Amino acid sequence: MKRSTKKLTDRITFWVAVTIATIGILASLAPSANSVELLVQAKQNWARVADIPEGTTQDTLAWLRDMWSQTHRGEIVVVKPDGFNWGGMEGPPNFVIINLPGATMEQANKYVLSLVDSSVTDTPGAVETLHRNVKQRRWHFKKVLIDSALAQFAIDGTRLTVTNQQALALIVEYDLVAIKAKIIARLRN
Amino acid sequence: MSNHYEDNATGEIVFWILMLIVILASTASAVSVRTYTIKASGGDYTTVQAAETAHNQALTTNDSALTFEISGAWTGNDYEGAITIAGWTMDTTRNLIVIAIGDSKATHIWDVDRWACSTGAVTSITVSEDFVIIDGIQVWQNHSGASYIYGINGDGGKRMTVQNSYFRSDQRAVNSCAIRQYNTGSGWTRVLNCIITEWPNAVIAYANAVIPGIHVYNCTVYDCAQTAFWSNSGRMTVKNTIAMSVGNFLGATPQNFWDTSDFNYTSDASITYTSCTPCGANDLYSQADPHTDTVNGDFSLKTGSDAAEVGVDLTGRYSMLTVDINGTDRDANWDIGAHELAAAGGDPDPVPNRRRQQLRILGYIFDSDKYVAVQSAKRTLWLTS
Repeated sequence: MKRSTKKLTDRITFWVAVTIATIGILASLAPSANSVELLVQAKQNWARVADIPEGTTQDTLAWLRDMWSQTHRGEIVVVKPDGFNWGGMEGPPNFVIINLPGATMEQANKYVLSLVDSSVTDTPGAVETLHRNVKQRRWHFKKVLIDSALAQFAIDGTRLTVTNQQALALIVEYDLVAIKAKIIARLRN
Repeated sequence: MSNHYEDNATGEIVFWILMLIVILASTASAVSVRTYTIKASGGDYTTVQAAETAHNQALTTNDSALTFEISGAWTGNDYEGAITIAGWTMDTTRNLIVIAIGDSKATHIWDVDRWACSTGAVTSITVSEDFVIIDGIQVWQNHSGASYIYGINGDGGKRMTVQNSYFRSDQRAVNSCAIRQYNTGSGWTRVLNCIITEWPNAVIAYANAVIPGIHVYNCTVYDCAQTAFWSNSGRMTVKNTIAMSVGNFLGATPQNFWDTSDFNYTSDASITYTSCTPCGANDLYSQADPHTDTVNGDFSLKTGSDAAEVGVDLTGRYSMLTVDINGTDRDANWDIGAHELAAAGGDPDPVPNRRRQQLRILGYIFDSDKYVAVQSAKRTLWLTS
């Protein structure tokens, strides 16, 4: 009697363990709802501009256009749903892919918006006209995240997964006011 | 004897030195051309923007030309968002070509299974560099803003070529347009074999007093409530182009020079060019719609259309115009517009997959030998229940 009870207990224990393991495996395999992948630029731009140059108004406006033109390390190039089938060259050294569980496409798409100066009208010609589109992207990840993603890829070839909270702590919005202040100061000098 | 051998050996050495010089010279002067594939699956990249970011460089310094080739099957879920081509250095031979080919290429009818840039951003494609060529793409602009929305904005980019492409928009924001060229410099921007529909304006040259401006040749414009073509102060030449259901063929206050514009076909009652002599002697006004099925985005010419066979041969200007948007050869008498009616026995036009359009057949009973067959070039759907 005792032996049959133990057998039954063992069997139940075994199947409970199997069930838990199966659920765990299925949960890890199934794409989680509201999960996205971000293709992030990992390399620095070939013609990085260090600072606003001394010179004429035209020089400054040209610099502004260049700054707008270039994409930079840490900027998010494309947002796709979790499990997206990326292209063969969409990885290091040019890019890293950051997995972001818990974020929706709608939430993540804001990271590919441009930095726009909405106070500038789309009518060119005025001397102090600033370019309306100041930068291709309004947000960028800190370098530490890109370095971590590159390191993980180098170790095991996998992509980095960060939580929404971690991402929010590591993403930075460019400061339009500071950029404009610099440009206007330069224009008036 | 020895002299004979020495002569032979000397001759051989000279020959190989010359060969080496020729090879080195040809290598030194050759621009390396590299192609990267954009595919929904199995390509180098899945988006043009990723390719643009990865390969952004001074092509003039690296003595190379790049092609981003879009191919393979796409669906509406694969549509690409806004694209920016900027921060490069190019010239006439060391340039960037973005081209859709095969099943990805635009045709005379909108096709949901071909590649498209479809975005809610203010501008679908921003081109800030000289010498960019865009060929065979679909652009669907659906930004909900009130004004100044663009399909391709040549924003400081000069000598841009846009050809064999299809632009649609359903927002109709005022002062918006499919293709805008701002601040053109030396050399013309070209808009060739393009279809533009449901925009407020088709093409705008905002040239800021810099000439020349834009060539619009063999294009088809439909349903543009403001104007088909508007120029601020640059030149715009419009030839062999259809403009139907437009507010006006030209902008209301043109300060422009419509250099040799002619052979156009429009529903507008007249075209008044400014400072252009001779212009418009062969334009056709107040014309009936020449298209097959505008409701479903089919801008092929109807057989017997008045726009057929009345264009002017522009081979001497642009050799790429010898074929239409579908790649069909233009015959001896060119048609006006992006589409050329194929000669009898010629290749048929491509048939699109309108998978997204609903087919409803209600109130019928089918069985195994009484059915409706819906056929297309791509698939046959048998409706038996």
